Amino acid sequence: MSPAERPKVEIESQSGELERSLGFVEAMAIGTGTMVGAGIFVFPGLAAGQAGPAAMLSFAIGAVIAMLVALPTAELATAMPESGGGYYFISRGLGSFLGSLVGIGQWLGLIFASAFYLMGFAYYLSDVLTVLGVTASLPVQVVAFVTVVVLTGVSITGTKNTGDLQNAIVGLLLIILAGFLGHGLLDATGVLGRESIPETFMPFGVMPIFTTAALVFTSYLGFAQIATVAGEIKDPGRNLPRAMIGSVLLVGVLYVLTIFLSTSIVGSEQLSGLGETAIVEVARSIFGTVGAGAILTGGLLATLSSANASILSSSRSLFALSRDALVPDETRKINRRFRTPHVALLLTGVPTAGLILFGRVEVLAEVASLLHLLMYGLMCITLLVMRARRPAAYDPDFRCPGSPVLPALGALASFGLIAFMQPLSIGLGLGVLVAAALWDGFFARDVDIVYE
Amino acid sequence: MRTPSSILIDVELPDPSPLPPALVKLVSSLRVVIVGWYEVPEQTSPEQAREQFEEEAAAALQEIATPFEDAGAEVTQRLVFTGNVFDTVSRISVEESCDTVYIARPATELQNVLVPLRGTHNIESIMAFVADLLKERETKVTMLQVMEEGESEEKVLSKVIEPARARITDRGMDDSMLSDHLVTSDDPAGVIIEEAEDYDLVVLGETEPTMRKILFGSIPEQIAIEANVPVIVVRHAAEDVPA
Repeated sequence: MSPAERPKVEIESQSGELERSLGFVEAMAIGTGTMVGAGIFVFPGLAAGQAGPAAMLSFAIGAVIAMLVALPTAELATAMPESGGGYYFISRGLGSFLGSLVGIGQWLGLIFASAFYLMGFAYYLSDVLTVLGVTASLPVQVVAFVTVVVLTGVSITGTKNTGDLQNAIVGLLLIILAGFLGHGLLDATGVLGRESIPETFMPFGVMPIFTTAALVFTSYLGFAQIATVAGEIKDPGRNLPRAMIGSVLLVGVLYVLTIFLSTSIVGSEQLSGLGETAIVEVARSIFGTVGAGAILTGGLLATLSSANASILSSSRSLFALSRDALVPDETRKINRRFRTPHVALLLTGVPTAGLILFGRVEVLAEVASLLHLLMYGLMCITLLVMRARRPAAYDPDFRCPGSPVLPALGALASFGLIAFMQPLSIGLGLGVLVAAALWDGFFARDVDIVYE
Repeated sequence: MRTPSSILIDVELPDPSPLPPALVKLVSSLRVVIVGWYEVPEQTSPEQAREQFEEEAAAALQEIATPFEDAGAEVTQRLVFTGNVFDTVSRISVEESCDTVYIARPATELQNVLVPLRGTHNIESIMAFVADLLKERETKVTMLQVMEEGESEEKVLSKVIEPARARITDRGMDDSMLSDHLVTSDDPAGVIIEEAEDYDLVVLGETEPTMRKILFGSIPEQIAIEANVPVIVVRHAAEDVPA
């Protein structure tokens, strides 16, 4: 039957549209909500212990790298506003082999990240329980394990849209942080008459600034997650770049201020001894019990929202991989009753639970960062390749400034930061990549992706 | 000649609740835009849902559309996979320039229509639509005006009801099918909801120029939610909005 003979209704009814329902605020909330959990609520104690007050430089280095990557990513995302994010760009720009390395790395990287956030959440929950006088001391790993089981279950069966809740949580967090940082900074700079703790800025020298930057870079994994939902963002040409760049700037400033405040008020030595929930003590010494309570609440919300966002994002990565036949079709099946991708969510939740049993927070964070940094570096290279190749379909609404210097720096900085990680993290990261390469060799050998 | 009035009817897919046959007959002279929406939670990308459920959803939408097409209406189908139904319906109502939006409630027959008025506000669009909808039918139309305390009945009759009646009869509707009803109360929404019980359908104008306001936080919203009969909301015609 020729197209002209086909009944009109049939043609009409075949074109299902996709609603773009995320505006600028929602996109910012995805980016900020994914990132803000780690940098403020988990890392200050660990970072100050490693680098002293100079840890604020470590966070600043992270922000600069994130920005160098966010600008090229924004261009790629407006040129290819498709679900899948980094995997999609790299497979289209650099071919299916690197594509599937990154895609599998993106899925697993987010799993490491959610395990890390959930460990952070468990530290906060344990602190809350202690404050409430519940003395039954459960190991944090058990708490985190139970949480991931519940979270995965809710993701699979929950049909209520929690987008508004996510916005509300991020809004509440920003209010808590603004109060905390605003008052705290006046206090720390002596306006309110407090003596700040005299301390050497770099007690351990220059090197720890970089190793700490590598450790805390997990705090910036999130801006690229906005690209994984690019297909659902309204007016992506405008909202994607603004949300990516805006969320990196916002969290970067918050992180640097938080470290400045924490080290001035409590001192890095004491912070270090306080571990994952050190920031609670900073709040306590500024605002007393109320401050500690607010920050505990903030920490619970932030780490949980980061974990939740990472799990959802990881399952989106599997969808993109499966659409390109790099993983089996079953992976992207949607459950008819709940309308959720239950297979992909399980393939994210179960490995997360496994990693929680492994339980080393710093290693989890670094492997997550490593896998993302690899993707970030390759995205910068993809931008250079796209600019050189000029495929007809490539027509970005946002153009990254300063090309080729800026994206080249982004790639160098991303790969370079990996060198400052612990050997165990680098080994695990490489192990993941080898596994991904083997998978690609056996399962996805014949897959060819063309982008003209 | 002016284009026929249009109505947006939205249905949930893949298992739409059936629309009353009386509605099909009622709107057969209009342009009917049927929006079939398939809602997905945030865990699911709409694209993923489209891939798996498009065929089934399109068939369900076609099943809803067929009776309208058979009755002679000019039907446009829109199938949307969405994370936000409200965004979808309001976007399409603008894209398709729909004059009215149908808010579904169970109904068996549509013989008695209540048209609440708010002074002369939006009266041109409302009456034009009512005439287009009902002029060749045996359907009774009651115009309801809720008056404030101390407002003069005569004044309302001459300023609101008579002009409304004139507009509707000008467009070919039989005067004998029209009646009016004046009530004094400080709770217009409550009165309209109560009165609506005795009718099969309510046609009312939106109070604000935007869809968001009709559905969120204004009198018509309360009516649309609380009334037990179907409601057709007449949107602001572009020319009614002051420049």
